[in-house]
Amino acid sequence: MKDMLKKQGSNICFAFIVILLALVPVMFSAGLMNSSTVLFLGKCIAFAVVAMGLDLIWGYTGILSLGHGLYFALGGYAMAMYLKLQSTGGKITDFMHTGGLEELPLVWKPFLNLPLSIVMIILVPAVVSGVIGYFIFKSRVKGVYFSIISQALTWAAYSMFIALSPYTNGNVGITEIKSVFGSIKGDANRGNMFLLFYISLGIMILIYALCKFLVGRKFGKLLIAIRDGENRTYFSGYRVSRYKTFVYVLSAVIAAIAGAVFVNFNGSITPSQMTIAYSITMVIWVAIGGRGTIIGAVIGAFLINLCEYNLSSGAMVEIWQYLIGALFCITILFFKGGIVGFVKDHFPGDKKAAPAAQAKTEEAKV
Amino acid sequence: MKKFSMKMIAAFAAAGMMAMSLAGCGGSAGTSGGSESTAGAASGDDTVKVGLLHSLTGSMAISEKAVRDAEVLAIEEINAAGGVLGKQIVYVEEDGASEPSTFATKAEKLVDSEKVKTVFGCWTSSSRKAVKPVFEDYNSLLWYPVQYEGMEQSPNIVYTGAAPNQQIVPAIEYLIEKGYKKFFLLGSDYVFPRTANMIITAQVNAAGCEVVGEEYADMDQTDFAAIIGKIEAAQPEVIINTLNGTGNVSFFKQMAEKNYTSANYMTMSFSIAEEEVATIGADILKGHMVSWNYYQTTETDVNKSFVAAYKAKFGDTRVTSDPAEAAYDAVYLWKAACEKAGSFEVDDVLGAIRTGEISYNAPEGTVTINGENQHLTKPVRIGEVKEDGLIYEVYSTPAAVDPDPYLTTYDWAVAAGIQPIE
Repeated sequence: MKDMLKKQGSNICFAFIVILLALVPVMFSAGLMNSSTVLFLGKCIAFAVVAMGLDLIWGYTGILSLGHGLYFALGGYAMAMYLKLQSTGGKITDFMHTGGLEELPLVWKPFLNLPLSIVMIILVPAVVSGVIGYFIFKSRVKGVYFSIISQALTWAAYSMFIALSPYTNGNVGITEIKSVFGSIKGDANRGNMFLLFYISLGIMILIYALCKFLVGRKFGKLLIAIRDGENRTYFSGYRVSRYKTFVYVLSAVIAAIAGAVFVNFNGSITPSQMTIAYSITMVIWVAIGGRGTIIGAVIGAFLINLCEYNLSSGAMVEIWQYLIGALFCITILFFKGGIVGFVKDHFPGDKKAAPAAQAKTEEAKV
Repeated sequence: MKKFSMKMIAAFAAAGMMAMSLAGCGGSAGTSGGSESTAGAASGDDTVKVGLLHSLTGSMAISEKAVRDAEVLAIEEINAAGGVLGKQIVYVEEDGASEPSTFATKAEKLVDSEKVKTVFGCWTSSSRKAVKPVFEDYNSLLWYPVQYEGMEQSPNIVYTGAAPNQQIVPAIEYLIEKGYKKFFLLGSDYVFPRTANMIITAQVNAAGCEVVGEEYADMDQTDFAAIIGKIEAAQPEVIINTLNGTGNVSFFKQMAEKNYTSANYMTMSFSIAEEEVATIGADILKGHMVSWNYYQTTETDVNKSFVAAYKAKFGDTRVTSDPAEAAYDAVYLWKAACEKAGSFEVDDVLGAIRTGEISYNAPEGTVTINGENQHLTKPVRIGEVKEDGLIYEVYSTPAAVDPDPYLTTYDWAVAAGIQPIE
């Protein structure tokens, strides 16, 4: 029993989170929860998905990307463009009209149709991250230099999205859109909301399973090998840059899927989702939850967002950012492995495992 | 051992945070975890709950704080005078954190979880656009207190700031009348300046004058050398400035470094109020023109007591400004609408608003909610910045101007086709 708990701890924990989330619509139907809370938890699911992608690249491979907001927003924009065209009936939007466009621009054309839009949600970030990753990792840019480049790229994309306002609506972004299943607000659309919620939950489970599958086999060991000794991995005959590019693309695609889910719940996407600050927030979720554990990313994303949601109002309204900051500092100073690392250290299955886990997390520090 | 105890303290701190957040989440169905700012909150018999939704953190906090303060002042004054329909107003504050998606999430929380009767909030157009569908979907009511670019009319929003025809259009008319012929349009790169400049271009061309340049700066741009170069080359008679926030500080300082004053290049600004004058410096801005509906120096009896109360509550160094005044009006207008409706329910209040009879004797003069487009009929004032950092009126429209957010009553605007498509 104890052995199983140790081995399957994170899966049990994940199953527990999934069951809680699956009960959310039930609680809503019973009147124990508001629809705004359900929609907020839907957004949290999206955040948990992007955090898992970040954990793959940062926690396992040791590449600290401070620009995943870019991919999150690319997926979000792709989804939002489809949804916007649904609400205008395929005609041009107000902001295109204001920007002087007469007909639907070519870049918007693929988003007239849902299957093609879904392909674009995955394809666009995959191509962007693939090209970036190929050149960066081929020239062996790593560590802090990679982080700086990822920030610069995000900043460039942000400026571009604002400057191209006839196509993107500048800093207002794409607003007034419904979800893929139609409106999710109000009692009449309760069915749509539940459908969206459960499908998003399904996506989260799939991404979790994919991540666990990948890190559980040789591929995962290789990622850790790259993190802990990149040169040794090169000398062992592995094409490290290919693995890095692959995992970078994979996490970008996961971020884009998360962005697409987020838009459905949020009803709008703005360039502030692709700012550097937003990207760093995502990294903080992973850091607090615990790097290199997958489950830590999920826990961190839910915990931090729930904290922000509930603390940034009323009496705490002026100081909530200090509280979140304090939580982050405490985690970094005292629990290097985040919440999951803390649990692993203090409730080890056997005494020998604890120091090993500690050492591992310390090495993982970039 | 010592290290271990530190860890335990930290663990308790973290656990406390988690518990707090989870408790807040679980409890949010009824009332939220400790958000009410006045004791005895809940939805008791003698109180009515409203929401305040502004950025209290992030880049917009500095501007939105003044607006939020004016709303709090109005609420406290109303409570001291006996409340609305015999009920004391309780406000729930949410932080939009200068991020449109957060605004949308928080708006949803206020109207759905907190069940507030109305919300006073937003500043930027992007935050308003993000929350607009929320208020429409939940059939709730938002009071938006800032002048904006127009071209919008939501049945669930009351706009207490100026529509373009109550700020931009009269200012350009005034300039044309004063004989200015060559206009240079300078703005930050976002929706308000872009739409404003589209309107101004149509108006200026229709009057037979000329736009000699149009430039946009990034929101946080600090280097204006290139833009100043273009201004020098274009030789405009007046610069129409729709820069926002920090851009204004850099632009005017760099103009001053070249010894350009209002005598060389006159500017007409739409986003510079008393607070911004204090940041940029009155010595740099003196002689320049602005256009608003209200200044701290506006001479009405109501304004004297408003300014006095504002300074008494928030400090002598604080100044009142147009957005703050519009926010203050919003609370009083909501009170008037509730009293006319005899109810706090959104449909009843909206019904009262749509009669077009809700008015309030505001610091800027009497304002009336237009029953059709839910903007205010309000006076327009062109002002000039003086050495003391205050703005003094140099011209005001003879009567209050009716709002026309889509500019449908202006032939040149209709001819230019600037109205949005259906």
